[in-house]
Amino acid sequence: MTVRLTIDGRQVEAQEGEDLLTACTNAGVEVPHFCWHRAMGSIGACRLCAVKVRRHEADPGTIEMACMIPVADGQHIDIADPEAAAFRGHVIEWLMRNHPHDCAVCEEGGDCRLQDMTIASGHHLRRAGPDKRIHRNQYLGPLITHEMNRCIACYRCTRFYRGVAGGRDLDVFGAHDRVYFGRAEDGVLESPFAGNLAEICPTGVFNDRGWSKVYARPWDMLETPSVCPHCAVGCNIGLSVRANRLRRVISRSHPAINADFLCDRGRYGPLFIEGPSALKAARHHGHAVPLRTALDQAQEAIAVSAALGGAIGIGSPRASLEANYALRRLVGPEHFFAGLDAAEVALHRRLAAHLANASIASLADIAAADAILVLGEDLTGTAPMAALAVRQASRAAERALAAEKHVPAFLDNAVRVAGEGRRAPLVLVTPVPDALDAIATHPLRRAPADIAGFGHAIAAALAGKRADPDASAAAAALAAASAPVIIAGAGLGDPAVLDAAAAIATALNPRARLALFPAEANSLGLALLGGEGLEAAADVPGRGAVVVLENDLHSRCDPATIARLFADRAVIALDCVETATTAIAHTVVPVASFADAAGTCINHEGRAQRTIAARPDSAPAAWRVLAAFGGGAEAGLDDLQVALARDCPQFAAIAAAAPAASYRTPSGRIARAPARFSGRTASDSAGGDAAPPRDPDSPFSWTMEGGALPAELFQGVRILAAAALPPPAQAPAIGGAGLILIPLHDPFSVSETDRASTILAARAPGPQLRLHPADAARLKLAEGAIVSVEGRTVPLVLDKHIPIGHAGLTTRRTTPRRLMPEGSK
Amino acid sequence: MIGTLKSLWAVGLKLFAPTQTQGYPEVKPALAPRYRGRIILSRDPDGQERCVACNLCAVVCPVDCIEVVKAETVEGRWYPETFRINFARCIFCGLCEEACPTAAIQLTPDFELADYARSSLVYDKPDLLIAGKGKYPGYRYWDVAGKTAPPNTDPKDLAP
Amino acid sequence: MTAAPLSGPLTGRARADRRPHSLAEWQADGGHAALGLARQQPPAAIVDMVAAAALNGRGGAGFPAAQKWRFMPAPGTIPGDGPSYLIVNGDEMEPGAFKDRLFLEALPHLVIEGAMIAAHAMHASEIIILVRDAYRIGIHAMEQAIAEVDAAGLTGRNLKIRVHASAGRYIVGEETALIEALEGKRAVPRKRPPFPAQSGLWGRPTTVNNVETIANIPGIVANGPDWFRGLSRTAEGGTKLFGVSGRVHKPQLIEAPMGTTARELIDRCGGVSGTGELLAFQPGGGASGFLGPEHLDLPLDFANVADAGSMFGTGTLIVLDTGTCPIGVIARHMRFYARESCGWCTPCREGLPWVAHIVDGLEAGTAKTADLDILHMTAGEAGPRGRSFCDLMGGAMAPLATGLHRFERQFADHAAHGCRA
Repeated sequence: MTVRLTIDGRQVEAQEGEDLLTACTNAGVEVPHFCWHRAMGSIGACRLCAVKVRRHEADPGTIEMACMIPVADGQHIDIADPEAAAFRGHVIEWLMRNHPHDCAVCEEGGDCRLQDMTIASGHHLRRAGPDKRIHRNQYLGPLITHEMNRCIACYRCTRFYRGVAGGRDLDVFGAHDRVYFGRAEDGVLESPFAGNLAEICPTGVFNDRGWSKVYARPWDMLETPSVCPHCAVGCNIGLSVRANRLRRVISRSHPAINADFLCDRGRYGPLFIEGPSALKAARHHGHAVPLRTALDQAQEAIAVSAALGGAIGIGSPRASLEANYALRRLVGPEHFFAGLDAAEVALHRRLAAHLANASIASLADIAAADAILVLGEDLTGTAPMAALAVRQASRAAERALAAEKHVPAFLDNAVRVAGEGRRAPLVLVTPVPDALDAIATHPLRRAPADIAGFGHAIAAALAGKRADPDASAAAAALAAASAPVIIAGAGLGDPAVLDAAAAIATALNPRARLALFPAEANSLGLALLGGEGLEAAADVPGRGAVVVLENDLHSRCDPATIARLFADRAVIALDCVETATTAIAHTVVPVASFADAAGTCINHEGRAQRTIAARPDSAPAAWRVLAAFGGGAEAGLDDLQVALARDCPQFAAIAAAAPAASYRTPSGRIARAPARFSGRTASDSAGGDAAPPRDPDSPFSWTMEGGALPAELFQGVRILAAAALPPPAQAPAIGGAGLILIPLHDPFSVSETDRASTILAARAPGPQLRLHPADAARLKLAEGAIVSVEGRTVPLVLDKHIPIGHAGLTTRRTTPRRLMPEGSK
Repeated sequence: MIGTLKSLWAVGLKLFAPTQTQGYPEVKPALAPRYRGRIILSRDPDGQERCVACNLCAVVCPVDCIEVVKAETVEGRWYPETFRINFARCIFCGLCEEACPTAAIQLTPDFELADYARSSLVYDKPDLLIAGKGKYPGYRYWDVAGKTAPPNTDPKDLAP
Repeated sequence: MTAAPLSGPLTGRARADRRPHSLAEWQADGGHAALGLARQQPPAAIVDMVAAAALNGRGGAGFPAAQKWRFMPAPGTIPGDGPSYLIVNGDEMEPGAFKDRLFLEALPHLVIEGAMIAAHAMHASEIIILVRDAYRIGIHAMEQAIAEVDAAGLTGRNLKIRVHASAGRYIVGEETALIEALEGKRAVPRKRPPFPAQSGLWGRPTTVNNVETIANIPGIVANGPDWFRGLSRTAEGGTKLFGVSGRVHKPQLIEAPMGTTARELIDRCGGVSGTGELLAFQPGGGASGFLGPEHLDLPLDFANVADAGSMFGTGTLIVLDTGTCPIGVIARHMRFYARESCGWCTPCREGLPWVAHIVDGLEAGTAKTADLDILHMTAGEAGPRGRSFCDLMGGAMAPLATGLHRFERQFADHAAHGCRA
């Protein structure tokens, strides 16, 4: 219901049940605040949002905290009221009493809410003496710095860490002006969302440690919108660059996807482009050569391939759609392969087909759900931000009870109390203990081979048939919900699990939504583009060149298949990071990473999103290189997309994911550089200035000339259209001897790009093999032994939660299979 | 006629007036410390460089001729690993000195900066950093920054 | 504790040796008669009785007790699952307050009887008596008494009673912070609304009443509201367990009618000690504003004291003679409140330690005249209701604000010379 009130003399409308601060913000009026956050509601701690509230025009009014007051018809709010403004100034004065004078040496300076609110308050004269309370800092891990003297006790960090992310090891200690935010002891923060503390903290207590090491002031960095390439969620990020170096990654708000946060993999992973494994130099036969030489060699090898049966192209689920398409166009659709094993190709095709026929859940839909089933997927490992959304959904029951007790929804602490600890139904079916167990109402363990069957049992129970008690309980919980979401993914490599999830969603129609998480950022795009698996590629007769696009084939299938594929062929590898494949390729061509070229990825919802180049000086875009091999590159990305849409009509809509390169704001291109950008003339010599580079693939400029980013044009666009479902999947035949694989996912390290980010690798636990003690004893392997499995050596960890007869292994290739680990010499 | 003679007389008297001309370069002009000449980076009373690479001088510079890149010692003290001023661009306005919170960057009464090659006018830190304290002898920013504990702090006071 | 004889409808029931009664002794003395009477009546009737008796809460805020009980919902109308709670607040940490201690140590059965009647009136099925950890004797006495009552089956099938020793500090006495502490969380107050009767302990309907408030209930039920009102000299019903400490010859607890004057109380204590001349007094413990000799004949109750510009609070007077340095007293108070700040909201967390530091500096002679501006600023900006998250700051600013006005000369003198007393 709408409510009419007056803010500083201006009539506005608000929604009943909103707090005043939200209403003011929605009306475009800024109310100074620290502790309020739109993702965490109101707690009334900082007292900065004081405004004068008059219940009606003639009321003399009282000072109230805008975040804690509900809107009411006829209210008059005076933000500029002298009494309120004076009080806000004193709140800043109180905070400044203990705040250190270290803006000059604080990373937050320039992007600091405390600085901004201090200027806004008008307080500028220090009356407090020099004695300030001081704290000892803690080492909290490689990702985040800790400088407690700066703390203004807004409590945002613990509210996010504990209340939103479910972490337990960060808390508040002490009392009065000695309250302390940290761990009970120094140690690495455990939550995979800890990096958000750097953005949430309104002062410099928590900062991005990686950025601090390559620090540049916020006003000195180019800001480019982009999309995280590290999983299929496709969170929106911002890339901050100076002197052609990526310095930090920040969250960029997308209301349907990541809202205001990121996981640590997405925040620190993209720095792989600055890591030691970043591939920058071209090579031919193992020797560094100029790029032109490598390109010529590659082009010749491809030209020669025509007489040798034709060149083969191996695509990649981490390369952009345009790059994959350019390769496919170069070698022809029959010779284009997906760069995955056949099982994973089939899995993702199946996943795409199910999504196309379903009511797809975005992360926002997941967070708003009132019952969730997770079938087999370790969400915290494969799609961490989806796990964060599930944590928010868990609170649905608490919110409902609080509403019954007439507790305003914006009073976050009051809602948590009134909710009596209720949790919305979360049925969590996984092979091993899961990070979400603590909030699951039905935490269930099933062996990987049994999960699909359990899913079908739930579907049967929903249809009224008899099922085992666990399935019946799960069905009952889902049936009673008004917005259930069914979640599964590629994490176990089992297409039957996807079928079961889709069946459950169908049984719950029309209320249910389905979320299926592919393995990688562009897995869905690649599945829609087409291309068979690596086994089929190895079967292709002839000995034409094989062009591998941004893919570490050695992590995709067994060495024998790769050997067959590469035998007697010229291997040309295009990549932005060193891999086992680039190490053995004959010609290595460095191409742009996701951060260096505009491109499109299709995320788990079927949403096409555009990355934009963030560094002006980098390797050429892969699609350009491939198009040039074919005899002529289009001028810009938009032109290539025209060709792509023509050849593959399923992608006709991707051009709407972002504005075309010809788009202009009223002030011209979209400026990447902020208006104050220092050091421009520090090294120049008159007459020696080169013209600034131009970006042919986007409407952005590399300078400060231009206008502001129109965020609403960068939301991406969903492209999936209903399609025919392939026949039911055959249960994967897991032949052979050995232990059945349980793929282990961890939030910090999945692919070669994650591992190539030094700062993320410092946080990641490292690959491991986990065995039940009984199986280990049988194989005569001890805890900590270095074990050889699938051509890798990994340490062994004994874990009684691994079902007997199974082996947990951190591996990217999830295709069900058996492992035969051996002690390595 | 009289007028012409008067003018000649007035001008002729100048033959015997004391000259105002300063015999530069043998005689250097006496300049006040506040004279806005060559920019230097000073050290604090302990001999440590004052600059903490806060970037305030760089951002206030009206012609963007200052580039600063921050690095950090093992103890956590910020310092500039790069400090570059292009004196071909510098307008000697002194805003950088006004902005500096640590009294590091200072303008000095030295105007003798002419050179033959434009590239020689780009000064890096070795060209800028002096051994002394410049115009502000007593100031040590880290004493008042609040980022480290003052000397003689009882560790028990630091417990949360 | 004072050894002077106690008399009055409340304290007169205590044994001469101040030991707690056994259940048998209590019942022989007429105890639990009121409980029997109350259980025969519907809850609403008890509430009406207490309302008619004009009993104001004795914990400090003075909110009418019956009105608090009326907020509690009837069973069957409450969303969620679980009991409703009555919490008896025995946290008594206000500086100068030592009255609840007597009830806990010497009259535990009176408190339990009152709590059971109150629980009946407000549909509560669990009673938690929270006592500050330092009152070990009181905790022991209450636990003994509860064990006896349980063993005798007096609680009936559905009522649970227990004692909880507070692990926290002064702020636990604030009713919503108390509830947070009982839930095992940091004792940070909650914002009201929602009120505890709507969403309290564990989100369930809860009422928090002071020990003394509860101790008055059996008398009201047994003797009727008219009797209770008749005990008082003003419109606010009943007697009050006044306390007097500070510069009097014989500090003590005195049960006297509501509306008794400070002069009468101080006379009972042998008069002002030290110089023998009253400088000022705080009527309600440390968190109340200073009143002066001009208020010696003010009938002390919540309304009158509020009109005089102070707060009745716990009714425990702190008396200053003219030989006491009032700045030192204020410094002592500010240090206490600064240390007890829970650290949630800015004005109290940052402003109180600053004020304490300055007033200490005034005593030591290191503060300056300009620092007085900060005291005035803090009292003016953080004192009024609604500026801070709870009333700790408002309470702490009461002696400071009234002191800055009443002792202006002494403040100026300290700023110039330090304490010369």
